Amino acid sequence: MLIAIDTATKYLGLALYDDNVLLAEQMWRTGNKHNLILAPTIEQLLQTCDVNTSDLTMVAVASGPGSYTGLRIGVAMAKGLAAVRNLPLIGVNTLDIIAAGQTFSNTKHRLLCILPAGRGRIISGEYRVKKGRWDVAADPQISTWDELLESLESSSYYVAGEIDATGIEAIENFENPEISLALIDTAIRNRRPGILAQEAWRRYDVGVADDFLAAKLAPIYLNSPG
Amino acid sequence: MPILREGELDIISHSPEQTRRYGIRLGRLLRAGDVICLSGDMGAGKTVFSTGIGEGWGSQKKVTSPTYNLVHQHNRANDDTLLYHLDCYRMQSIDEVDTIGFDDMLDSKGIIVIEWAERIEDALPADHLWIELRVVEENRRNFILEATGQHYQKLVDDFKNAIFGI
Repeated sequence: MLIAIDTATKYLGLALYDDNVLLAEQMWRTGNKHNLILAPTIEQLLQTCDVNTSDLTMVAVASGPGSYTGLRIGVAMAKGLAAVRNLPLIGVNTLDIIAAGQTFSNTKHRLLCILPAGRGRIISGEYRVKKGRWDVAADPQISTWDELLESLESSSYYVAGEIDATGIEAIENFENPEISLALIDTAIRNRRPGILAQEAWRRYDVGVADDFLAAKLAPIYLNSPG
Repeated sequence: MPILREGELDIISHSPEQTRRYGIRLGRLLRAGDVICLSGDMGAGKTVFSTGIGEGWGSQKKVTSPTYNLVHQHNRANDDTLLYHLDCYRMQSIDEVDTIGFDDMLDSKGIIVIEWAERIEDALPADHLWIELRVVEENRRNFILEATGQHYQKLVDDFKNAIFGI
């Protein structure tokens, strides 16, 4: 039984997943109350689903990039849950979670996954289809919308993730005959804790036990000063 | 009493006690989302002034220097608004302000009081109240308030009324 925790941005996401069945999933925008409500929310979810903490055998967490505060809270909780009973802890890059939840019809299209970075900037990661799934094509970057759009190569892009009004406007106003941008629909472009759970389970299946030691997991902070 | 321009105010303090009282008056006027920047050398009165702001606002714990913790978070009895008190003295790069969740503070509609605000000028919202604190001599400090934006111009106006009754 895997519990997935995602507090990387203003959304709080939780999921319970067992043997390729998604048992429960909840996600909502809490703003900056993660530190207060994460523990009681987890307790509530377990209770609702008749699951004991002792039933948990794996923990998954969105390990970054994202908000420093949000990541600290989620990763600390995940580490605590995992370390106490020596459970494997699977950290999944926040951008990967977005990508794993997107489909594709044209394998030549690229995918841009977006997260807010604060101070008017965004975190973006580019993905391309490789062996039937979205694969990281470049290191994630922090930039403004204008800087990102100017850096794009001639291609067709899907855009998914957390895109605010500024981003939607930038995408709508973007004109370049060589580049097409397709903004994925509102709910579909959101990252989901159920997808985090699914992806973590998949990685655990194909991974090596050592990769998942709770003590080793460190959050991914981009542009970490000194 | 020199008044420079709309939204500007130049005042003198003759003691830490007076500085604190100025702070109290300002603290009483602050509303959710207000950003107050304090800039000036050590000993000019930034922390004393901040302590006054906290008192005027109604902070449950006394506001003290957050130099080592970088940020203190205060609450008060009447509601669940927060007052964040930052000290950017030890920040070596502006990116460090992200690590303490500055953006979350701005979104939270809490009140933000920033000492050594010049260290993070680029991260500040366009509208804010900037207060320059200067040591003139031992019992004399000069505070120059400069408001950016209509909201803060009104705040300075209200502050002037509170001190001088005009």
